[in-house]
Amino acid sequence: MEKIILYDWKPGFNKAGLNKLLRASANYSLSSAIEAVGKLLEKEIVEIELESSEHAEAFLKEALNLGVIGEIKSIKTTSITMLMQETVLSDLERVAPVFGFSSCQPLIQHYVDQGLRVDLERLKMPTMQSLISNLKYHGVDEAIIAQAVAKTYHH
Amino acid sequence: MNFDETIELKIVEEDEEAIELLAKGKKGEITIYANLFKEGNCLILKNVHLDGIGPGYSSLTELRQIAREFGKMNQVKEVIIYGFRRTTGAHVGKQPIPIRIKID
Repeated sequence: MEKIILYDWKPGFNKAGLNKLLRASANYSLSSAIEAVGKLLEKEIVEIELESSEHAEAFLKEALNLGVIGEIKSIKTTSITMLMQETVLSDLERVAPVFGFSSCQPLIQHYVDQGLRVDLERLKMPTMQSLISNLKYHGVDEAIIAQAVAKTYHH
Repeated sequence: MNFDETIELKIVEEDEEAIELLAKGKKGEITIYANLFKEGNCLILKNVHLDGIGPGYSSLTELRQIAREFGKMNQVKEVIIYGFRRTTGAHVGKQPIPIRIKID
């Protein structure tokens, strides 16, 4: 997995070109592509994840030609082994090609990524962070806090 | 691109409030990307950016003409265009002034 960070643009930056590139090479929808171009124009960071380094290099080369400033950041990966119900696995194998995933592995990665982003956003909430710190300060066991957080958001 | 003649407009894609609009004239095409909102008799195009305008033509003139046609298609009395920040020309980095087009 490779991550491309776009963070600035040069005079002459081709906005429509980036819009088309994001949709053609990074599976962005039309609305997401417009949003990403808008973010970049305001010099906010746009992060794009692509599966292979070849794909990422080709994408970045084209983006640089359009007047975008950015770079590739490699994401280190490690393998894990986990038990999974066979029925879940067969469902994943059935669903993956329908939504354009080459196998169930990138689909699982996509699900994890989606869920993780949501929870990371929740953790950024100041009330949540402050509540957790306060509970820890008062000696509440971390496992109990984790259970309470999970119950609040996932049940 | 010369839009002195009639232009043909085609919605290529719609996704949530985003729209890709293709304007075809006898001498060429312009693709418009924008977020589209309708408020009463007014059509609002935000984050507008264009593709396909060749050198030597005024993008603003063509854009006004396309907006007028698009406004008629949508049966509104006014179209307001908010362009994306400029990345070319003399005012790079500036947010363009909104363009208001009254529909006849």
